[in-house]
Amino acid sequence: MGLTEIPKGFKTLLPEEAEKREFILKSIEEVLSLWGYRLISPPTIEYLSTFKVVDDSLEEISFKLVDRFTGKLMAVRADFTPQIARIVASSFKDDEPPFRFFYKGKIFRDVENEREIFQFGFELIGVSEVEADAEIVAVVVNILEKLGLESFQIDIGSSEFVEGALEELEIPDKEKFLQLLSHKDISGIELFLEERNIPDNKRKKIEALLELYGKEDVLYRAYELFENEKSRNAVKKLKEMFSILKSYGFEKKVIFDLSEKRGMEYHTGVTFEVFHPLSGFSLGIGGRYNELLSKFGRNLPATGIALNIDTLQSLLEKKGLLKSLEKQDFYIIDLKKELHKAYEVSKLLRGKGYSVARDIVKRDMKSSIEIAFKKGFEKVIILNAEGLAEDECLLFIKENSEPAKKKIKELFEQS
Amino acid sequence: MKYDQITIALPKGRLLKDAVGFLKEAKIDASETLKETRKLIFNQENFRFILVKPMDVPTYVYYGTADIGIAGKDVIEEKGYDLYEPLDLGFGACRLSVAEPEEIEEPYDLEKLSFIRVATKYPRITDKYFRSKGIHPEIIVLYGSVELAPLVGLSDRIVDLVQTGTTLRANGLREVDTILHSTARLIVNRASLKTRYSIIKPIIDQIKKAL
Repeated sequence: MGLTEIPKGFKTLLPEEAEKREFILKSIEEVLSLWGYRLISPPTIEYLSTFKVVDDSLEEISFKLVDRFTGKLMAVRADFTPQIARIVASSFKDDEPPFRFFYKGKIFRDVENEREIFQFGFELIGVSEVEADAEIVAVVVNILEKLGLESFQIDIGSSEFVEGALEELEIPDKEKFLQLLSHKDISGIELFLEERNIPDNKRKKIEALLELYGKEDVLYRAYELFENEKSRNAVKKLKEMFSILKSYGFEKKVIFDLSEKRGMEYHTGVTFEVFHPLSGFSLGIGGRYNELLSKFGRNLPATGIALNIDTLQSLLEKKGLLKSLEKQDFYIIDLKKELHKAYEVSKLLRGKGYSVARDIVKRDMKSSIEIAFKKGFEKVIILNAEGLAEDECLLFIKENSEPAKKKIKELFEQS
Repeated sequence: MKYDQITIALPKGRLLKDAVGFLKEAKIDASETLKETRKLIFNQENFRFILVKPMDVPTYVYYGTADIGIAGKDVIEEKGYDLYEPLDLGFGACRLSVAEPEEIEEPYDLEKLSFIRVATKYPRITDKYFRSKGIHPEIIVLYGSVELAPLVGLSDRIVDLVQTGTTLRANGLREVDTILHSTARLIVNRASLKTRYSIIKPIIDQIKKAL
């Protein structure tokens, strides 16, 4: 094994990619600040129990280690939401809701492919009204539009609706059935029903359930199809939410899917998933989790979403929306290595707000210039070249172009 | 890339002809792909067809490079991707079975096995199946002529696709267990179904009507 080998599922962002990532994060932060959300930064590691109490599957996928002080199992964060819930229940236990928080960082999951995912999420805690869910959708729309995207869709579902439907249908082996639903696997469902001798009238309903995805009409069909209170309640909330979103002018951005249950185990109501036609994977997933905070001792309703920044970045890259990134301004090559002068010139330029880097490596001038332009610097300054006066320098504004002789102080005046 | 263009991944080989037939029902003409050429990409109005190995169809669809694909249930399971498979097209019926030489010393008995050495093109399904029964499988992955493995002593048994059983019998093998029944399915990328609902849903509905 070579020393440069890296473990599966972890990646490096090189400067250009890392800068683009920062640009994305900054853009999102600006939107969230405008909506009154505040940054929160949870620890990387927590006791495993914090995650496990919320969703058993988090135990299976998290990286675990033993705390040598308590002997308890700890987990590297595999999900932000339980952490936010814990923090609100402890650090804000006497504060009045609502709470609006956002967070950014990596989650780690010990799975086959990507074991490290960069997320940017935000949560609105303490509001049970549908307006809160509509706010989450509205903020997502704002964020994506700010990043220059237009053709995205927000897929709205409801765990509550599906749960109610499954209870009404008295489906055994719920987990297996939910999995088939999540793949819209009709023949798998037929086999499932056959093996369990489920009567024909229920089959018809299940077939109709599988068709509950599409535009607004889904809500009307869904209301007619199931009579139980849970499902009907869920549809009522979705209708209310849709009319709010319509009043915001977002109706074309929204699509419904009531035929499957997505999200985590802790999602109890509305769920959201963000899609774009040029990305094969969803850009983010979230939803309502009204029972999560009570696990940590404070009974508050909540809703939120986490965007997958890795997927978002590759989509923006594909769309060419990340090109206009800052270039670097000046590269200074001092032929005499008269350190003080280069330092002074750099300092003055930096004082004017320019980015300046110096060529400290020893090599011939021509290759230094070539490298500077290759690295993305816009102008190259040569100090102490032959035939220059003490207060003069050479300025290159393009590789292979003729240099201009300038007084050093002109550099600051013209710009 | 145009947003209204739909890319369809089609499997080369035995499923192709029927797949093209089903698309015709949805007024999608993919007949060009049946001509003997070396071309892999075909453009037809708002559709683009790509011809890929059957085992690769789910991969193209999962990553969104193709919006729709036609693939056997066997390869969908083997790949195990998060995909939509809203239609069972019914053709290409076959089964994924365990087979062993007719003259094997200790015939296959799930209750008595604790270990099994099998050759297969389907390592994922095979591993999952035997482990779910509490049997430790040693899996030898082969890419073709799997029937050969028990004849030359590479493995005791095989897990392979069986249509009629002729190939097995010709090689002195018999089917002893069925892991999965397979037919061709229409598969759809999740993001495609949501973002191009107004184009893709009618295609699904039309093919469904023809079934």
